[in-house]
Amino acid sequence: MSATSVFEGSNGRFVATELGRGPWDADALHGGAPAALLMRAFERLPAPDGLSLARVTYELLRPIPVGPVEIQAEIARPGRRVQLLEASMSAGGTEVVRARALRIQTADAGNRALADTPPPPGPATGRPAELNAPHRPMFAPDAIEIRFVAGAWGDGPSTAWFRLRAPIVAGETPSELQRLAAAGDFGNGTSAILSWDDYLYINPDLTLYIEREPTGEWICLDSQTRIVRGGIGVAESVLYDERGRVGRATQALLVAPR
Amino acid sequence: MTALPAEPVFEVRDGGFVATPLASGPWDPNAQIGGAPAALLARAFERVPAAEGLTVARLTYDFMRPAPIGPLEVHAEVARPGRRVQLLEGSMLAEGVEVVRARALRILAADGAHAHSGETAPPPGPGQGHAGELPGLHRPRFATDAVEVRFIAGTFGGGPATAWFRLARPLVGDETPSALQHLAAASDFGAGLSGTLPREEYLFINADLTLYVERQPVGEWICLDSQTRIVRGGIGVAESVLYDERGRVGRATQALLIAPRH
Repeated sequence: MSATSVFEGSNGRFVATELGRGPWDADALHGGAPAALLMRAFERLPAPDGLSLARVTYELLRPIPVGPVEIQAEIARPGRRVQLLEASMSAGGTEVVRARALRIQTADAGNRALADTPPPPGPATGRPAELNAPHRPMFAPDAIEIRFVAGAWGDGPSTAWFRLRAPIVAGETPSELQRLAAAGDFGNGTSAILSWDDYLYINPDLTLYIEREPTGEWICLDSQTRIVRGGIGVAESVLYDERGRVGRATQALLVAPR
Repeated sequence: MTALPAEPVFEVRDGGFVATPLASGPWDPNAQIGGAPAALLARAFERVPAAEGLTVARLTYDFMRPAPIGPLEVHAEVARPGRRVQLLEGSMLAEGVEVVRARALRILAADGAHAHSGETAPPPGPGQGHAGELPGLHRPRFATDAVEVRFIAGTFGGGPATAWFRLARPLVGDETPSALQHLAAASDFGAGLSGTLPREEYLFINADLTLYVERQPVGEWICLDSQTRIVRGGIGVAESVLYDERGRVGRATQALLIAPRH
């Protein structure tokens, strides 16, 4: 029977299904899958009233296999107004992802706070993605629905909406932050400037800055990749929900000929 | 290369460091501004060996507690070795208490053959800027006495602004700072530069700093093109596009704790 969620399990012990697979290797997960599961682990750590997630940094240390994984999460620095969290994912006893999250008291700037920055045209106006899918099922398009409103997959700067269509954990409705994390790892794919057949452009990290907690199911990435000669490739994606801008995702890239 | 006045931001003592008053921020003469530990930890990461061709792609700093003026220990180590990707972890301690926790990601410099992006041109250079007014009462302090500032657009604390920064003192002992140390020292100024909340009424402190480095900077001067966004019901974030005199080199981001003082 084919999988209906990206992970199955509970209490820190999960099994990653084929719905989480990325494009690079039929045995390895897309970064968005562990990003969402670790986001869930951070959400479950208690926080004082009024704190909100400001940043999550993921170190995608090694390929993450389809199969059993373990999650650990803890408060590294407690605080009433600022809290630092750490988490890791391991597979077969080897750490495959290390993550750190910062929670901060929601800003109280009175009437000096800004109104929302309007979002791009909504997902209903978008076109379904035409994906390079070397194997199926895959995280995109089987667990994630994608609608392009500008540009196209792997063809430079682009704008696309993403929506999880499968639960991250079996039997649970994904939270908005899990949806944000699942979508946040797509920038290097949607805005790629190098040929998929000739180059690797894998991201060993992902940083999410969250200016406001998203609402609803759809997350938009307005993405661009820059690779300066002699430098490091970086994919940057401004993140939106259907109300407006919610933050930015950044990925550093390992770029090499295949 | 300009000769630097002798007094450094950090003195070397007993295998550790001592932060001098030149490291102090605008709020408290006894606490360091984020740029000082950011630069010192960048130096610690630079001294950890790497496979050939690896270059710093990202630096992330979590400012866990106020970093005092006085004795400090700095540690850096390889958390995940690799030929093409290497993860480093570092920390700064004062009297045995961790005050800053940092990570650096090094990646093999991109080989995209002919498919590279062009350089993004920088703002007008530091020679065309003017020395601006900086907030804070005590002297010496980092922003006025360790760093030289040249404004191109905007003012300090008046909304979106563009300014060049340069370490005008040695960071450590009598060493000439590296370009990455200049970058780290400058990159923590975005929130102060582009903030709009009056300091008398609001606390706005950055709890972190993330630098993405698209290309290693060259030279001493680093430009920040900064803006702060504080959305109602959200978290304040300051973003700064970073340039050297040749072009864009990356982006600095800071998440802010914002609260009325009373």
